[in-house]
Amino acid sequence: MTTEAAARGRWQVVWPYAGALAIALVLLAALVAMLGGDASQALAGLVRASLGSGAGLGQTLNKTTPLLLGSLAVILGLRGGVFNIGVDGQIYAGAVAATGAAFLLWTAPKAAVLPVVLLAGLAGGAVWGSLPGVLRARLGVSEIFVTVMLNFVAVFLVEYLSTGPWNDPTAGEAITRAIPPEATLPYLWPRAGAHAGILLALAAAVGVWWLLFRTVFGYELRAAGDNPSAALLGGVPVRRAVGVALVASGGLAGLAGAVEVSGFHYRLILGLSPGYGMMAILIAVLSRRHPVLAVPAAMGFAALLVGTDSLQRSVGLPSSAVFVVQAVVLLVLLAAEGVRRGAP
Amino acid sequence: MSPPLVRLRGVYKRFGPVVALDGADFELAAGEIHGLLGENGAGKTTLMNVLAGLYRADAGDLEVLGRPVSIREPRDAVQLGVGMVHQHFELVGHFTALENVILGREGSAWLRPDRLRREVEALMERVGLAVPLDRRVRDLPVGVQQKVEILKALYRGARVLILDEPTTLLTPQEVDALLASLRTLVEAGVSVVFITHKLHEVLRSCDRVTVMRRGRRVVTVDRREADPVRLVEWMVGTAPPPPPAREATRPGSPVLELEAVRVVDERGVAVLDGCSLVVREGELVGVAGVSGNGQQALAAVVAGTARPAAGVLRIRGRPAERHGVLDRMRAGVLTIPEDRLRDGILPRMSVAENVVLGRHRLYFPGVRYDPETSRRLARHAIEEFRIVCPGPDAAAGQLSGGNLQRLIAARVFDAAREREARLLVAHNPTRGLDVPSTEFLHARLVEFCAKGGAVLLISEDLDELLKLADRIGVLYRGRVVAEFAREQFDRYAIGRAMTGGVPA
Ligand SMILES: Nc1ncnc2c1ncn2[C@@H]1O[C@H](COP(=O)(O)OP(=O)(O)OP(=O)(O)O)[C@@H](O)[C@H]1O
Ligand SMILES: [Mg+2]
Repeated sequence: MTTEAAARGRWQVVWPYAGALAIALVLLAALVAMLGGDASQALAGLVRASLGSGAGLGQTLNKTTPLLLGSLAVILGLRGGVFNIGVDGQIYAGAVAATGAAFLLWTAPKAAVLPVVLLAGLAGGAVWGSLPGVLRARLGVSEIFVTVMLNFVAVFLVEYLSTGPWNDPTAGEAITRAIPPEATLPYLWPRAGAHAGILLALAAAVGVWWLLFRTVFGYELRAAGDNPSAALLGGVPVRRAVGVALVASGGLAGLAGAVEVSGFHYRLILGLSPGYGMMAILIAVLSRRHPVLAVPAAMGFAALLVGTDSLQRSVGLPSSAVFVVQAVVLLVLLAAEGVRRGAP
Repeated sequence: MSPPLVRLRGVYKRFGPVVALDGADFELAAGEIHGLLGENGAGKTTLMNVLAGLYRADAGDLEVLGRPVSIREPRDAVQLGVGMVHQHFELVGHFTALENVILGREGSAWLRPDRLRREVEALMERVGLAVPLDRRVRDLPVGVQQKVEILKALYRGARVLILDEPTTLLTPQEVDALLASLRTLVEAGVSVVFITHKLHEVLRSCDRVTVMRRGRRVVTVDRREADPVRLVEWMVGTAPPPPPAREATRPGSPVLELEAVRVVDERGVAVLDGCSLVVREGELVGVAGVSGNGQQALAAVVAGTARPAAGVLRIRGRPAERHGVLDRMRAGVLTIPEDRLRDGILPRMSVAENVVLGRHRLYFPGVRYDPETSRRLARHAIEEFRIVCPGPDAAAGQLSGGNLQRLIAARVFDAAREREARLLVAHNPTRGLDVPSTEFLHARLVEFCAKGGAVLLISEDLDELLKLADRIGVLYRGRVVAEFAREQFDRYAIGRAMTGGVPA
């Protein structure tokens, strides 16, 4: 693609989504009306709740963080030709490692705790990504099975820890004790409740861009993903590059888990990831596997999630109806993606 | 005399710059087995695809029983009773043989299954082909799958059965069985076109033979008038070898040595078996042979993408059996892959990113990749190799075949300048290229040799080899069965070795 074509390409990405968004909002209004709500009030509330107020924006930013990190993880895999559908498992693995580190580090100097907690999350996710990575690099085993299996393992691990050894006896549900204050992420914008995780995610987006487009490793990874046999004949260690990409991908997802623990929940909980992994795949595809385009895509997605969530409060929709609304929006976006891909 | 069952006249067909059929004629008489011979690329498959409605000829006439007809799509051919069995079967592996046979027949959903089965059983009886109807096709041996394909064609009412190289995948016993059943088919009223590269099969089983060369018919003869010597002459032509395109150089020390190399593919078949060959500095060694006799494995084992299961492979005197692609590159081995789309190009990446592939670690020895450097190199390559493309940032997948090959040439020959390249393996480097692009590539190969490089040129085009090579080795069934030095170049002798060395 020439640079102008690339620029044109970027606009081509935007238009279908703008259209899809409009359709989604109309559908949403219709749905709300059908369910007995006031459509205009709902839409206004949706915007206010996600972008139109400080608190709403804060929530949107907080939601953007795991979505962006997760989609960067997926993008890194996709660029190397592997499909990491284990982002959820890696988020949980990162959250477990981060929580564990926070509990163990009570003797450490206070300033060191947070960095170590975040790094632990990164490492936890990387470990989760390394199993499919190694199996793929050494034995050529499909990453799809392995990552899905590991999702289950991670969920079981969280269930065990949150109800067993780390359980908070006063809460009476599957959540752990809170992590110490020095292990928590500072607020970026205290009044809006936005934590500093978004800065990490934005830095990661730039970092992934740099890795992919400005390093030899990234070049080789993209070559391996584009045409493995040509890359191989061009001297690219295809399997190793792809294996490393899966590990790094797991690391990014793990960081998302750590941020959720230390910035938002302050503890490990079972429902830590409400399907971020699947949404991350969607965002990765919507942003055409481009780490920088993933930023607006993730943010728009987060705004939709936060906004539709608010419908429960603003027009009193039952939570199941909120899921229906979110599902409809997703379907419209997917259809837009299908239309864009089908177009010449 | 009654008109032939099928007559093709003056058929012309081109694919981009490549003229596949250049006024080809062909007649098939009712009730005969008609052999169709010709070198790789002679146009046999294309001609029969025109008859089967898979390609539309650019020009030419078609008659059935003296009546002009037009075949625009496969369905027309089926209606005229033409059925073709391709070299790669088109069966549905997890369907049973019966399901595959009746697949695609119009209205089959409305017919009762037991009635269909009785029909197929009757057909098998009539033509003397029996297959286990209830077995899944993927569990059947290749020879039986082929019978399923033939039955499928006959079930759709084929009176003309075209078999494209039906014997390549078969064991000798299966070949015998196939040839015997062709006779039974003819007795049942079917006429057969039998494409092959093997002379003895033609001489054994066909009534008449047509030989094609460069998109035209050379001759159609009765079997009685055909003997191996003349058939080979017709196939490869009698023209004297073209004048060498280059001065013979005095070869230096060996760069590539293969001794009794054996390579086994993923199916467990030995695709190279006891292959021995030497290429020296400044030498261009050609490898001739009918495709499918181990050429791919030879290229792969030298490039380092396949490992020898046995034998010795030395590069510049050092054993290299266990070395991978990167080690080969460091030792100065370059490759022009046969399948440029599959093995040569990163289609979604830019021309610039494609130009540096293979030498990217040379240009970027550290961590950083600099797109500006790649662009600069690409602009250079575009100019020097006259690559037609919008610019260095264009996606490589959009380039035409000839321009892709120029891109690959730019990659290879620039690397040759940058670092001491010693050995170039080129596999069918000019296939599908137009004349100027071919000339261009030949000149580069010659230049490479003149600078002391060694070239292993694996080609289906005998004229290319006669023009360029110092020596030609003939690959047959995974080994080099004959070698010819330039003084001994002789189309007939080479052609004979290529077709299995039938005694004259
Ligand atoms: N679909 C296609 N697109 C481009 N070129 C083609 C195509 N099919 C055939 N050709 C070219 O047309 C020429 C004739 O090819 P064809 O397949 O008819 O030869 P053939 O006699 O069957 O050879 P072989 O013995 O190798 O099967 C060759 O140069 C080939 O590269
Ligand atoms: Mg053919």
